[in-house]
Amino acid sequence: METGKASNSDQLPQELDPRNWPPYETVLRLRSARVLRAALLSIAVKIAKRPAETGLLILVDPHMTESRIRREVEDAKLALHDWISRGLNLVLVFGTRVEGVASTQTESFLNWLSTATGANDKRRMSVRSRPPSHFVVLQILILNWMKAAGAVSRMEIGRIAGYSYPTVAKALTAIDDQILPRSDKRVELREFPRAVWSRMVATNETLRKPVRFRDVSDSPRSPEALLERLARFPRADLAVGGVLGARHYYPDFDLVGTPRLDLSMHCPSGEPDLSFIRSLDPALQESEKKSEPAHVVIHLIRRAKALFEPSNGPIPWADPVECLLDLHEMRLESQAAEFVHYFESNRAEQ
Amino acid sequence: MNLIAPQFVLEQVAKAVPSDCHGNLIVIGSLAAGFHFFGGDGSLQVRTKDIDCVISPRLEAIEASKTVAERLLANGWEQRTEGGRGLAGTGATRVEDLPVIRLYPPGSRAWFIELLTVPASEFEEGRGWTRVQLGTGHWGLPSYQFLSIATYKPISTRFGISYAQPRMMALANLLEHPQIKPDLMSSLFEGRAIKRSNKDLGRVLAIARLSSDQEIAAWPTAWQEALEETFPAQWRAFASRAGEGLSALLASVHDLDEALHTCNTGLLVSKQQTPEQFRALGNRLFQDAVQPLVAIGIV
Repeated sequence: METGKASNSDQLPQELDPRNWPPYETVLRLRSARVLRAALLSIAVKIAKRPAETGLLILVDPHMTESRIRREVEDAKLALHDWISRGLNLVLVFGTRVEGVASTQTESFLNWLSTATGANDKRRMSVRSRPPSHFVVLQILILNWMKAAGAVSRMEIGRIAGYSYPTVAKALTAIDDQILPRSDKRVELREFPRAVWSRMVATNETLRKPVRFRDVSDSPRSPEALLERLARFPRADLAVGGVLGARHYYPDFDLVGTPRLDLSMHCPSGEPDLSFIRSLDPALQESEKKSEPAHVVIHLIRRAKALFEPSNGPIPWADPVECLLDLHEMRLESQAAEFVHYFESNRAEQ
Repeated sequence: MNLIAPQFVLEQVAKAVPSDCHGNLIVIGSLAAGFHFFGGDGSLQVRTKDIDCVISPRLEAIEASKTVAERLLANGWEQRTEGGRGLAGTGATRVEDLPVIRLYPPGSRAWFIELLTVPASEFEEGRGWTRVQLGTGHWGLPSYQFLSIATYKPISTRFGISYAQPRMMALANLLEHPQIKPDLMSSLFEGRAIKRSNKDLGRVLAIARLSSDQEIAAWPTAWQEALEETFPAQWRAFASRAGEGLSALLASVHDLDEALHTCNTGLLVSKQQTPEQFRALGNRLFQDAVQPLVAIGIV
């Protein structure tokens, strides 16, 4: 929990001056009812000490469902004096979207809120661990192979991956048998490395740690409709992968319909800013259960260069290796094999 | 509350009303919404008892309502007398104490029509009253501040009378309830006491659920046009606070549950929502239609 601290702030606009802040309590990424109840008690005490004012319980990117949170708040109010209960208002912050008391519509409130919660900061998520270097290097080499781009220097691989020369060299030793020997020390794959790839694909989800969102409404929007909405507020760090991306690279891709929207997010820091999800569709809720069908899945690209492919629209395409990994993750194995075969055929024709 | 078939009732009302008054009569409320969304399906019914008929324009309201009421009474329709407000007033009765014209069709107590009119000006707040003198005595024609929004550019039916655009009824309800008022509906709604605000704001969500994303995307522009036309002096102020009631509804588990109950037993009976789905529906509507209107108002 975080609370405001008084400071010298004579030059600040009124709403940004901590001396004018209402009683409030902020909880980031609330996960349990126990923490919520503690925060409720804390804000109730603050309101009791400043009875003329409206208190705010601000929950930023809560991981509990909204209905559960609201039920807990309503239950807590039953145990409070009426005058405290009336002064207790819940504000939910989902990325850039704020929900709560009517005053949340005002600009001054939003200014205050962004200061009080640091809402201008990127979404606070635990830094996701990087995938192993040999996985990243192999992805780069496979991409090079798919594009029939020829050999690439270790320096260039390091520049794309964000690795030092020794790290690249070490990663290459792990896949040494897949590399075509060359006198100039540049590297390229002999062929599509099926065996190595299969082993990696088996741990795909562990390596990539996708963030999954499910639609909690009874009328999920199609991936195409979601993409259309995303195009209204394009971001440089997002690209379309999955089935839509695979279809872009391989127009004869054999699948009726599109099961979900896969987005690749370029995020070298490992701290993804997922605030756009709320604007994309407020019916989307993060889901940690793999058994639940996901409607939108975000895959983080941790390497230094995104390697997105420009599209005709405002959202670029994720590279074909990302798309291939997405297909494996969706268990579309025959389509994934066909996708690889398509690139093999292309190479053979060249 | 009774289950009634929208198409049947609209046809019956239209047949009973003199044809030269058809242009003056706009049906609003759940019957209008029901007719719009599933009027063609005779098997789908709407749970209501009052068929709200707005007499418009205001200048013709007194004459038209007299003509309509007299004709219906002459054809065997009967004044609804339940609730102690069914007896005609006199010239001495204060206009706000006059009974509303509520008429049952011949031989049925399943539903009744209620005559209303639009406000005299954009500055008429809350509920207004207009005296109408029939052969049976003095009656009151109520008007509500946002009825001019609800009846903006109504949709014609093949029966001659019109009904309100659902999206305009939705806007009228959003504006009518800037907060959740404590007033309860006069009767239980499928066994539960329900706040009127929750019923009306719930209907906004039901209309949204029955509309497509593409339709909803066009609401802010249509709403702005209606507001500018009907409230030329105040439209920005109304637009800027159009989201307050919905925001309050979404912030209260109890109120949202009441709204959900009215929808699941009413317009959404065939598309029943869970609380989580209903909240998602509200959040979507807020983002896609209400926030853009609020933003237009704030500029």
